[in-house]
Amino acid sequence: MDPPLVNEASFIAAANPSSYSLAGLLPFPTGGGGGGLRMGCLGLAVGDGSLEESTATELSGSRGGNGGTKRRRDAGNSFDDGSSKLVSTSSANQDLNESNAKPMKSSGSRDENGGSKTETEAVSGTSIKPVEEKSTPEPPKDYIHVRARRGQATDSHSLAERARREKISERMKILQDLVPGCNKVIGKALVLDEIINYIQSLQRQVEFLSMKLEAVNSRLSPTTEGFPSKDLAAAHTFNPNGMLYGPQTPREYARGSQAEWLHMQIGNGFERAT
Amino acid sequence: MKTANCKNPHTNPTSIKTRFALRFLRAINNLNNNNNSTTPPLNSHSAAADKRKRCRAIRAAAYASMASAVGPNKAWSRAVLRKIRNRMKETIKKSTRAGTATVRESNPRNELSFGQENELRELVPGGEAMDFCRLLNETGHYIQCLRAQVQVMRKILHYSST
Repeated sequence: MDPPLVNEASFIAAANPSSYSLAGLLPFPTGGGGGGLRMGCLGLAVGDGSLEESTATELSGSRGGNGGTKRRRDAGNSFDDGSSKLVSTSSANQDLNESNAKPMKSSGSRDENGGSKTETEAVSGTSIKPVEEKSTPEPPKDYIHVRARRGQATDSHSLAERARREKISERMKILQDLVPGCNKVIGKALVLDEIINYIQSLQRQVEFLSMKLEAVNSRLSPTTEGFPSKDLAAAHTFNPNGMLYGPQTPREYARGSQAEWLHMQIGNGFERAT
Repeated sequence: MKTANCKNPHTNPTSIKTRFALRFLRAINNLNNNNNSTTPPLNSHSAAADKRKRCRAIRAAAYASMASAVGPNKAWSRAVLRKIRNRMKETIKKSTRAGTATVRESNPRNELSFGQENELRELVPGGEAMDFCRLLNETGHYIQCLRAQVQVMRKILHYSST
Protein backbone atom coordinates (compact mmCIF):
# COMPACT_ATOMS: atom_id res chain seq x y z
CA MET A 1 0.00 0.00 0.00
CA ASP A 2 2.86 2.26 0.73
CA PRO A 3 4.64 2.46 -2.62
CA PRO A 4 1.80 3.81 -4.76
CA LEU A 5 0.96 6.33 -2.17
CA VAL A 6 4.52 7.38 -2.05
CA ASN A 7 4.50 7.62 -5.77
CA GLU A 8 1.42 9.66 -5.82
CA ALA A 9 2.67 11.90 -3.20
CA SER A 10 5.96 12.28 -4.95
CA PHE A 11 4.06 12.73 -8.17
CA ILE A 12 2.06 15.52 -6.74
CA ALA A 13 5.17 16.90 -5.29
CA ALA A 14 6.86 16.49 -8.63
CA ALA A 15 3.96 18.15 -10.35
CA ASN A 16 4.64 21.14 -8.23
CA PRO A 17 8.32 20.78 -7.70
CA SER A 18 9.61 24.21 -7.47
CA SER A 19 7.52 26.26 -5.18
CA TYR A 20 6.12 24.73 -2.09
CA SER A 21 3.76 27.51 -1.57
CA LEU A 22 2.09 26.64 -4.83
CA ALA A 23 2.35 22.94 -4.10
CA GLY A 24 0.74 23.55 -0.82
CA LEU A 25 -1.94 25.69 -2.30
CA LEU A 26 -2.72 23.30 -5.11
CA PRO A 27 -3.25 19.86 -3.49
CA PHE A 28 -6.31 20.88 -1.63
CA PRO A 29 -8.28 22.40 -4.43
CA THR A 30 -7.01 20.15 -7.24
CA GLY A 31 -6.48 16.83 -5.51
CA GLY A 32 -9.73 17.25 -3.72
CA GLY A 33 -10.70 15.18 -0.74
CA GLY A 34 -8.92 12.06 -1.95
CA GLY A 35 -5.49 13.49 -2.09
CA GLY A 36 -5.87 15.24 1.14
CA LEU A 37 -7.19 12.14 2.84
CA ARG A 38 -4.51 9.95 1.44
CA MET A 39 -1.92 12.33 2.50
CA GLY A 40 -3.40 12.32 5.91
CA CYS A 41 -3.35 8.50 5.91
CA LEU A 42 0.16 8.65 4.78
CA GLY A 43 1.09 10.83 7.57
CA LEU A 44 -0.47 8.32 9.91
CA ALA A 45 0.96 5.25 8.14
CA VAL A 46 4.38 6.71 7.94
CA GLY A 47 4.28 7.20 11.63
CA ASP A 48 5.79 3.70 12.01
CA GLY A 49 8.96 4.55 10.21
CA SER A 50 8.96 8.08 11.20
CA LEU A 51 12.27 7.85 12.94
CA GLU A 52 14.20 6.99 9.82
CA GLU A 53 12.26 9.37 7.74
CA SER A 54 12.64 12.13 10.17
CA THR A 55 16.36 11.63 10.00
CA ALA A 56 15.98 11.56 6.23
CA THR A 57 14.10 14.80 6.27
CA GLU A 58 16.68 16.35 8.44
CA LEU A 59 19.44 15.16 6.22
CA SER A 60 17.70 15.79 2.94
CA GLY A 61 16.15 19.00 3.89
CA SER A 62 18.73 20.82 1.89
CA ARG A 63 18.57 18.43 -1.01
CA GLY A 64 14.85 18.07 -1.19
CA GLY A 65 15.11 14.94 -3.36
CA ASN A 66 13.54 12.17 -1.25
CA GLY A 67 9.96 11.16 -1.58
CA GLY A 68 9.48 10.83 2.10
CA THR A 69 10.64 14.30 2.74
CA LYS A 70 8.45 15.55 0.01
CA ARG A 71 5.53 13.70 1.42
CA ARG A 72 6.11 15.07 4.78
CA ARG A 73 6.77 18.46 3.49
CA ASP A 74 3.70 18.31 1.41
CA ALA A 75 1.70 17.23 4.35
CA GLY A 76 3.26 19.92 6.43
CA ASN A 77 2.81 22.40 3.71
CA SER A 78 -0.75 21.47 3.19
CA PHE A 79 -1.42 22.11 6.79
CA ASP A 80 0.71 25.16 6.80
CA ASP A 81 -0.93 26.38 3.70
CA GLY A 82 -4.26 25.79 5.21
CA SER A 83 -3.33 28.19 7.86
CA SER A 84 -1.57 30.44 5.49
CA LYS A 85 -4.59 30.33 3.25
CA LEU A 86 -6.65 31.32 6.16
CA VAL A 87 -4.21 33.98 6.89
CA SER A 88 -4.13 35.09 3.33
CA THR A 89 -7.88 35.02 3.04
CA SER A 90 -8.18 36.77 6.29
CA SER A 91 -5.64 39.26 5.18
CA ALA A 92 -7.49 39.59 1.94
CA ASN A 93 -10.62 40.10 3.92
CA GLN A 94 -8.79 42.60 5.95
CA ASP A 95 -7.71 44.28 2.81
CA LEU A 96 -11.25 44.20 1.61
CA ASN A 97 -12.45 45.38 4.91
CA GLU A 98 -9.88 48.04 4.92
CA SER A 99 -10.69 49.07 1.44
CA ASN A 100 -14.31 48.99 2.41
CA ALA A 101 -13.61 50.57 5.67
CA LYS A 102 -11.65 53.38 4.22
CA PRO A 103 -14.58 55.04 2.58
CA MET A 104 -16.66 54.17 5.59
CA LYS A 105 -14.09 55.62 7.86
CA SER A 106 -13.76 58.67 5.78
CA SER A 107 -17.49 59.04 5.70
CA GLY A 108 -17.57 58.37 9.40
CA SER A 109 -14.91 60.91 9.99
CA ARG A 110 -16.82 63.25 7.81
CA ASP A 111 -19.87 62.62 9.90
CA GLU A 112 -17.81 63.03 12.99
CA ASN A 113 -16.38 66.17 11.61
CA GLY A 114 -19.89 67.34 11.12
CA GLY A 115 -20.70 66.57 14.70
CA SER A 116 -17.24 66.97 16.11
CA LYS A 117 -17.24 70.66 15.66
CA THR A 118 -19.63 70.80 18.51
CA GLU A 119 -17.52 68.22 20.26
CA THR A 120 -14.38 70.21 19.97
CA GLU A 121 -16.33 73.14 21.25
CA ALA A 122 -17.41 71.06 24.18
CA VAL A 123 -13.85 69.97 24.79
CA SER A 124 -12.62 73.50 24.70
CA GLY A 125 -15.46 74.44 26.96
CA THR A 126 -14.51 71.85 29.53
CA SER A 127 -10.85 72.61 29.30
CA ILE A 128 -11.48 76.26 29.81
CA LYS A 129 -14.04 75.77 32.51
CA PRO A 130 -11.82 74.82 35.45
CA VAL A 131 -9.81 77.93 34.80
CA GLU A 132 -12.86 80.10 34.73
CA GLU A 133 -14.43 78.26 37.66
CA LYS A 134 -17.81 79.82 38.22
CA SER A 135 -18.04 82.63 35.74
CA THR A 136 -20.07 80.74 33.09
CA PRO A 137 -21.29 77.45 34.51
CA GLU A 138 -24.47 77.05 32.52
CA PRO A 139 -23.63 76.80 28.80
CA PRO A 140 -20.85 74.20 29.06
CA LYS A 141 -23.02 71.91 31.13
CA ASP A 142 -25.19 71.15 28.11
CA TYR A 143 -22.16 70.19 26.12
CA ILE A 144 -20.96 67.99 28.89
CA HIS A 145 -24.28 66.27 28.95
CA VAL A 146 -23.98 65.54 25.25
CA ARG A 147 -20.40 64.45 25.56
CA ALA A 148 -21.17 62.07 28.36
CA ARG A 149 -23.32 60.12 25.96
CA ARG A 150 -20.70 60.01 23.24
CA GLY A 151 -17.36 59.11 24.77
CA GLN A 152 -18.20 57.59 28.10
CA ALA A 153 -14.86 56.80 29.66
CA THR A 154 -12.96 60.05 29.49
CA ASP A 155 -16.04 62.01 30.22
CA SER A 156 -16.90 60.18 33.37
CA HIS A 157 -13.34 60.77 34.50
CA SER A 158 -13.42 64.42 33.75
CA LEU A 159 -16.85 64.76 35.27
CA ALA A 160 -15.74 62.99 38.41
CA GLU A 161 -12.68 65.17 38.54
CA ARG A 162 -14.81 68.26 38.14
CA ALA A 163 -17.20 67.11 40.88
CA ARG A 164 -14.27 66.42 43.15
CA ARG A 165 -12.77 69.81 42.50
CA GLU A 166 -16.05 71.50 43.24
CA LYS A 167 -16.40 69.51 46.43
CA ILE A 168 -12.91 70.53 47.50
CA SER A 169 -13.51 74.18 46.78
CA GLU A 170 -16.80 74.03 48.65
CA ARG A 171 -15.13 72.53 51.67
CA MET A 172 -12.33 75.00 51.47
CA LYS A 173 -14.95 77.70 51.63
CA ILE A 174 -16.48 76.14 54.74
CA LEU A 175 -13.05 75.93 56.32
CA GLN A 176 -12.43 79.51 55.36
CA ASP A 177 -15.52 80.48 57.28
CA LEU A 178 -14.36 78.36 60.16
CA VAL A 179 -10.90 79.83 60.45
CA PRO A 180 -11.08 83.43 61.61
CA GLY A 181 -9.39 86.00 59.48
CA CYS A 182 -9.35 83.65 56.54
CA ASN A 183 -12.16 85.20 54.57
CA LYS A 184 -10.00 87.88 53.08
CA VAL A 185 -7.34 85.46 51.95
CA ILE A 186 -7.51 84.55 48.29
CA GLY A 187 -5.90 81.47 46.85
CA LYS A 188 -5.96 77.87 47.86
CA ALA A 189 -2.38 77.77 49.03
CA LEU A 190 -2.73 80.76 51.31
CA VAL A 191 -5.98 79.45 52.73
CA LEU A 192 -4.35 76.13 53.47
CA ASP A 193 -1.50 77.99 55.08
CA GLU A 194 -3.89 79.88 57.30
CA ILE A 195 -5.67 76.69 58.28
CA ILE A 196 -2.41 75.00 59.14
CA ASN A 197 -1.29 77.95 61.22
CA TYR A 198 -4.60 78.03 62.99
CA ILE A 199 -4.49 74.36 63.88
CA GLN A 200 -0.94 74.73 65.08
CA SER A 201 -1.87 77.66 67.26
CA LEU A 202 -4.80 75.75 68.71
CA GLN A 203 -2.62 72.78 69.47
CA ARG A 204 -0.07 75.04 71.08
CA GLN A 205 -2.81 76.58 73.15
CA VAL A 206 -3.89 73.15 74.31
CA GLU A 207 -0.31 72.44 75.27
CA PHE A 208 0.01 75.71 77.12
CA LEU A 209 -3.28 75.22 78.92
CA SER A 210 -2.34 71.76 80.00
CA MET A 211 0.88 73.18 81.37
CA LYS A 212 -1.06 75.81 83.29
CA LEU A 213 -3.53 73.25 84.50
CA GLU A 214 -0.72 71.07 85.68
CA ALA A 215 0.76 73.95 87.66
CA VAL A 216 -2.58 74.81 89.19
CA ASN A 217 -3.32 71.21 89.89
CA SER A 218 -0.07 70.46 91.60
CA ARG A 219 -0.43 73.58 93.68
CA LEU A 220 -3.98 72.79 94.67
CA SER A 221 -3.72 69.04 94.56
CA PRO A 222 -5.15 68.40 98.01
CA THR A 223 -8.10 70.67 97.43
CA THR A 224 -8.80 69.49 93.92
CA GLU A 225 -9.75 66.15 95.36
CA GLY A 226 -13.10 67.66 95.96
CA PHE A 227 -13.12 69.19 92.50
CA PRO A 228 -16.76 69.98 91.80
CA SER A 229 -16.75 68.20 88.52
CA LYS A 230 -20.45 67.54 88.43
CA ASP A 231 -21.25 71.12 89.18
CA LEU A 232 -18.81 72.32 86.61
CA ALA A 233 -20.21 70.01 84.04
CA ALA A 234 -23.69 71.15 84.89
CA ALA A 235 -22.58 74.74 84.55
CA HIS A 236 -21.17 73.86 81.16
CA THR A 237 -24.36 72.24 80.06
CA PHE A 238 -26.75 74.87 81.21
CA ASN A 239 -24.72 77.91 80.55
CA PRO A 240 -22.53 77.27 77.59
CA ASN A 241 -22.94 80.72 76.20
CA GLY A 242 -21.90 82.36 79.38
CA MET A 243 -18.46 80.88 79.15
CA LEU A 244 -15.89 83.19 80.45
CA TYR A 245 -12.45 83.21 79.10
CA GLY A 246 -9.53 82.99 81.37
CA PRO A 247 -7.29 86.01 81.52
CA GLN A 248 -4.42 83.81 80.43
CA THR A 249 -3.22 83.90 76.86
CA PRO A 250 -5.98 85.33 74.81
CA ARG A 251 -4.29 84.47 71.56
CA GLU A 252 -4.91 86.31 68.40
CA TYR A 253 -7.07 83.67 66.82
CA ALA A 254 -9.35 82.79 69.66
CA ARG A 255 -10.09 86.38 70.39
CA GLY A 256 -11.88 87.15 67.19
CA SER A 257 -13.71 83.88 66.94
CA GLN A 258 -15.63 83.46 70.14
CA ALA A 259 -18.85 85.07 69.01
CA GLU A 260 -18.72 83.34 65.67
CA TRP A 261 -18.08 80.01 67.24
CA LEU A 262 -21.07 80.15 69.50
CA HIS A 263 -23.46 80.89 66.69
CA MET A 264 -22.09 78.44 64.27
CA GLN A 265 -23.68 75.23 63.19
CA ILE A 266 -21.06 74.19 60.80
CA GLY A 267 -21.03 70.74 62.22
CA ASN A 268 -24.37 70.25 60.62
CA GLY A 269 -23.10 71.57 57.37
CA PHE A 270 -20.24 69.15 57.47
CA GLU A 271 -22.49 66.25 58.20
CA ARG A 272 -24.67 67.13 55.28
CA ALA A 273 -21.73 67.57 53.01
CA THR A 274 -20.53 64.07 53.66
CA MET B 1 -32.01 76.74 66.53
CA LYS B 2 -30.39 75.33 69.58
CA THR B 3 -33.11 72.78 70.11
CA ALA B 4 -32.87 71.72 66.51
CA ASN B 5 -29.18 71.38 66.98
CA CYS B 6 -29.56 69.26 70.07
CA LYS B 7 -31.12 66.43 68.09
CA ASN B 8 -27.80 65.28 66.81
CA PRO B 9 -25.42 65.09 69.71
CA HIS B 10 -22.37 64.65 67.53
CA THR B 11 -22.84 67.91 65.74
CA ASN B 12 -23.97 69.87 68.73
CA PRO B 13 -20.91 71.74 69.93
CA THR B 14 -22.30 72.41 73.38
CA SER B 15 -22.84 68.77 74.06
CA ILE B 16 -19.38 67.98 72.84
CA LYS B 17 -18.10 70.62 75.17
CA THR B 18 -19.93 69.16 78.13
CA ARG B 19 -18.86 65.67 77.38
CA PHE B 20 -15.30 66.76 76.92
CA ALA B 21 -15.40 68.72 80.19
CA LEU B 22 -16.76 65.76 82.09
CA ARG B 23 -14.22 63.37 80.76
CA PHE B 24 -11.36 65.76 81.13
CA LEU B 25 -12.17 66.57 84.75
CA ARG B 26 -12.50 62.92 85.54
CA ALA B 27 -9.15 62.25 83.93
CA ILE B 28 -7.50 65.06 85.86
CA ASN B 29 -8.96 63.71 89.06
CA ASN B 30 -7.58 60.31 88.28
CA LEU B 31 -4.18 61.80 87.56
CA ASN B 32 -4.26 63.69 90.81
CA ASN B 33 -5.15 60.60 92.76
CA ASN B 34 -2.34 58.69 91.14
CA ASN B 35 0.12 61.51 91.72
CA ASN B 36 -0.82 61.89 95.35
CA SER B 37 -0.49 58.23 96.03
CA THR B 38 2.70 57.55 94.13
CA THR B 39 5.08 60.45 93.63
CA PRO B 40 6.28 62.77 96.30
CA PRO B 41 8.91 64.91 94.52
CA LEU B 42 12.36 64.56 96.00
CA ASN B 43 14.78 67.05 94.49
CA SER B 44 14.43 69.82 91.92
CA HIS B 45 15.55 67.80 88.93
CA SER B 46 13.16 64.97 89.48
CA ALA B 47 10.47 67.52 90.30
CA ALA B 48 10.96 69.20 86.95
CA ALA B 49 10.88 65.88 85.16
CA ASP B 50 7.81 64.96 87.10
CA LYS B 51 6.19 68.22 86.20
CA ARG B 52 6.91 67.71 82.51
CA LYS B 53 5.58 64.23 82.74
CA ARG B 54 2.39 65.36 84.41
CA CYS B 55 1.98 68.16 81.91
CA ARG B 56 2.24 65.66 79.10
CA ALA B 57 -0.18 63.39 80.86
CA ILE B 58 -2.69 66.21 81.17
CA ARG B 59 -2.33 67.07 77.52
CA ALA B 60 -2.75 63.45 76.55
CA ALA B 61 -5.80 63.31 78.78
CA ALA B 62 -7.18 66.41 77.07
CA TYR B 63 -6.76 64.88 73.63
CA ALA B 64 -8.08 61.54 74.70
CA SER B 65 -11.13 62.96 76.40
CA MET B 66 -11.80 65.14 73.39
CA ALA B 67 -11.56 62.17 71.08
CA SER B 68 -13.77 60.03 73.26
CA ALA B 69 -16.26 62.88 73.54
CA VAL B 70 -16.41 63.09 69.78
CA GLY B 71 -16.82 59.37 69.51
CA PRO B 72 -15.70 56.97 66.83
CA ASN B 73 -17.65 58.63 64.05
CA LYS B 74 -14.78 60.80 62.99
CA ALA B 75 -11.55 59.51 61.61
CA TRP B 76 -9.36 61.91 63.53
CA SER B 77 -10.82 60.92 66.91
CA ARG B 78 -10.37 57.27 66.04
CA ALA B 79 -6.77 58.00 65.13
CA VAL B 80 -6.15 59.86 68.37
CA LEU B 81 -7.60 57.08 70.45
CA ARG B 82 -5.63 54.47 68.57
CA LYS B 83 -2.45 56.49 68.96
CA ILE B 84 -2.96 56.90 72.67
CA ARG B 85 -3.71 53.25 73.10
CA ASN B 86 -0.57 52.32 71.21
CA ARG B 87 1.46 54.79 73.22
CA MET B 88 0.18 53.30 76.43
CA LYS B 89 1.36 49.95 75.22
CA GLU B 90 4.71 51.47 74.33
CA THR B 91 5.06 53.23 77.65
CA ILE B 92 4.53 49.95 79.33
CA LYS B 93 7.38 48.59 77.28
CA LYS B 94 9.70 51.59 77.18
CA SER B 95 9.75 54.92 78.91
CA THR B 96 7.78 57.95 77.68
CA ARG B 97 7.88 59.36 74.21
CA ALA B 98 7.15 62.68 72.57
CA GLY B 99 3.79 64.40 72.84
CA THR B 100 0.71 63.71 70.80
CA ALA B 101 0.80 66.74 68.59
CA THR B 102 3.59 67.24 66.10
CA VAL B 103 4.27 70.93 66.34
CA ARG B 104 5.90 72.14 63.17
CA GLU B 105 7.94 75.25 63.53
CA SER B 106 8.87 76.25 60.01
CA ASN B 107 6.20 77.07 57.52
CA PRO B 108 7.67 78.47 54.36
CA ARG B 109 5.19 80.58 52.49
CA ASN B 110 6.27 79.78 48.99
CA GLU B 111 5.62 76.09 49.20
CA LEU B 112 3.53 74.16 46.77
CA SER B 113 0.06 73.11 47.67
CA PHE B 114 1.18 69.52 47.78
CA GLY B 115 3.60 70.16 50.61
CA GLN B 116 0.93 72.10 52.44
CA GLU B 117 -1.45 69.24 51.96
CA ASN B 118 1.09 66.93 53.52
CA GLU B 119 1.56 69.34 56.38
CA LEU B 120 -2.16 69.38 56.96
CA ARG B 121 -2.16 65.60 56.88
CA GLU B 122 0.44 65.55 59.59
CA LEU B 123 -1.47 68.03 61.70
CA VAL B 124 -4.82 66.32 61.55
CA PRO B 125 -4.59 62.99 63.34
CA GLY B 126 -5.15 60.05 61.10
CA GLY B 127 -4.98 62.20 58.01
CA GLU B 128 -2.08 60.42 56.40
CA ALA B 129 -4.11 58.02 54.30
CA MET B 130 -7.11 60.09 53.47
CA ASP B 131 -8.77 61.47 50.42
CA PHE B 132 -8.28 65.21 50.19
CA CYS B 133 -12.01 65.91 50.40
CA ARG B 134 -12.28 63.79 53.49
CA LEU B 135 -9.19 65.42 54.91
CA LEU B 136 -10.81 68.82 54.56
CA ASN B 137 -13.93 67.53 56.25
CA GLU B 138 -11.97 66.12 59.11
CA THR B 139 -9.95 69.28 59.35
CA GLY B 140 -13.11 71.31 59.78
CA HIS B 141 -14.39 69.09 62.53
CA TYR B 142 -11.01 68.93 64.16
CA ILE B 143 -10.72 72.70 64.23
CA GLN B 144 -14.12 72.97 65.85
CA CYS B 145 -13.23 70.44 68.48
CA LEU B 146 -9.85 71.96 69.19
CA ARG B 147 -11.50 75.30 69.70
CA ALA B 148 -14.06 73.80 72.05
CA GLN B 149 -11.26 72.07 73.88
CA VAL B 150 -9.33 75.28 74.31
CA GLN B 151 -12.41 77.07 75.58
CA VAL B 152 -13.28 74.38 78.09
CA MET B 153 -9.73 74.10 79.31
CA ARG B 154 -9.55 77.84 79.79
CA LYS B 155 -12.78 77.73 81.68
CA ILE B 156 -11.56 74.96 83.93
CA LEU B 157 -8.32 76.79 84.52
CA HIS B 158 -10.21 79.92 85.35
CA TYR B 159 -12.36 78.04 87.84
CA SER B 160 -9.54 76.25 89.53
CA SER B 161 -7.18 79.20 89.69
CA THR B 162 -9.62 81.58 91.31
